[in-house]
Amino acid sequence: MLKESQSTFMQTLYSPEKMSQDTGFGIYQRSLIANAARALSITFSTVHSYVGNAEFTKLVRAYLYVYPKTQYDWGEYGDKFATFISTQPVSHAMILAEIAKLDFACHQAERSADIVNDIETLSLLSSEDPYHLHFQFNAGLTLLSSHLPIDIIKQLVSQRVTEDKITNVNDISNILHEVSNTYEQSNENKAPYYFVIWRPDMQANYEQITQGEFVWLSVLKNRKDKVQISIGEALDRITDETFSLVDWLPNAISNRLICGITLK
Amino acid sequence: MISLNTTTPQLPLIGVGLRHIHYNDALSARANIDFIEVHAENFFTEGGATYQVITDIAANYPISLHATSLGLGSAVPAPEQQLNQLLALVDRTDPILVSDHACFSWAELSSASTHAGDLLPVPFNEESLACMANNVLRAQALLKRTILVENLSAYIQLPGSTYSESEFLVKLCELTGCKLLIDINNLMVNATNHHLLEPNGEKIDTKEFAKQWLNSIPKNMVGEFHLAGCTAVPENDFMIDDHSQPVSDDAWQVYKFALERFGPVPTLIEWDENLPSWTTLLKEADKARHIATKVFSREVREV
Repeated sequence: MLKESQSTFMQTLYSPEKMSQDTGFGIYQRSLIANAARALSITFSTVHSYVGNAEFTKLVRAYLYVYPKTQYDWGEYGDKFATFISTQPVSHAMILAEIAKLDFACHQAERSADIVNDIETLSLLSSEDPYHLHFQFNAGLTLLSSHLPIDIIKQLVSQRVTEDKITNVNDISNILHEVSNTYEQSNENKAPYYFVIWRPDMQANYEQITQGEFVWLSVLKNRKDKVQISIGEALDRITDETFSLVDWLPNAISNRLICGITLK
Repeated sequence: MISLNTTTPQLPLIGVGLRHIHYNDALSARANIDFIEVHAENFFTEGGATYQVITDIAANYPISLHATSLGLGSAVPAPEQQLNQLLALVDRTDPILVSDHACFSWAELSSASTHAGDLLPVPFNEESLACMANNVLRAQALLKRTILVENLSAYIQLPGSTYSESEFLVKLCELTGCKLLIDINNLMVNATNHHLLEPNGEKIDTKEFAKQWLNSIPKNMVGEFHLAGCTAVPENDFMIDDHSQPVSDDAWQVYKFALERFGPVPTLIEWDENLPSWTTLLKEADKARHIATKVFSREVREV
């Protein structure tokens, strides 16, 4: 009986049509929305800054009723928020959805387990069989593809906000409108943009990469029987002639995308 | 001749809740507090900045881990992974206290275990008691320690209660060996809202209500007090326990009463909204220490 009554309580809590304004129950309903909006404004900080708190809370409220919280930790909530935004009647939904994908990946990277930097092990590359060597990636390495250059869009908005001293969301919306004209409409049949997200220290980094690098990292991240595949095996699988390990490696080391090599 | 020990009062440990904007303040210089309380879920990450913060805080202050999501009164129990994350944090921070609430947070929604993201009330009856006792025992077995369970501020009264709140909590302690974290502001909020919750309810004296409530709790069952303040509301609006203000004069008076009854119980100042400066927060802790000093110095003199 307790189980059923708690289930009924939860059902009412997550029912927008049963929203109560003047009873004690309404306090719980409003609290749920406020807690969710606060948590997701941290996870999706860029989206929040682009649309402002009122619009963001509206999006979160709608999201909550479609995707109730099944995680106990608010920090893990919101994995479908980006896709959800793309379906919503909000200005620049497609751009916001792509930005949300990057926000979520960065947030997850910042919560991921620390990795010990063991850069001296890179010397193994010159002495050991690559079929026994595995790259040790830095914390939170994630790959993302998008039909928009989200890094450039973020940079452009940030630059305009600083230069024009923009403080209100209407002006940001105007910038997004320009961005939309530039990229969305001219990009229908273009190849996607690829990104890598990782955390070298405390903050997540992201960077646009080539399709060849994207495939390379995807292959390396692939796990066979829970074991990451070796550098030798990954090289065998790469058919993209534009990818060059010799070009990629120094950059990956200096960016601290990789922080060591393990010998197995 | 009177020895020094007989004239030095034993004071409660006094702490403050740590929120994001105060991380640097707390770490830049050791504050005059006995412990810091953190919301456990804010530090469930496996790495990164927050992981580093809790590591540094635990190296500088005794920690109290205050969980907000176990939903100890949930008929759908918290997932194993959640308890394991709490255990990992306990292992990492070696806290002096671990606590959560006498509420439910988990329930089934369309066959999926769903979390309310809030502290929802339970009816005070045998079924709820058995359920909460099971969950408390499960948590204590896994964490290998006694936990504290906090009384709620509740904005609805569920049907089916056969015990008062305090009777329910006392029985919970008897069944599980847990102790109570008594949130004095929650008592005051519930008393303030009493007339809105009871059919034909009348306004009651909030301080008297809180004192009677405290008098119904055995002296050995209390492990911590929480003190907070909340936004004032018009006469017939619900008061919400928003932790946005300094502790009210009434709550300080009830705190003094509580110390006199229960002795030097660890005390925490909570402030979650409309956050003050670190200095202001510490001043609230000083007030608690000042009251405790007066209470226990007097007791020593009376001895």
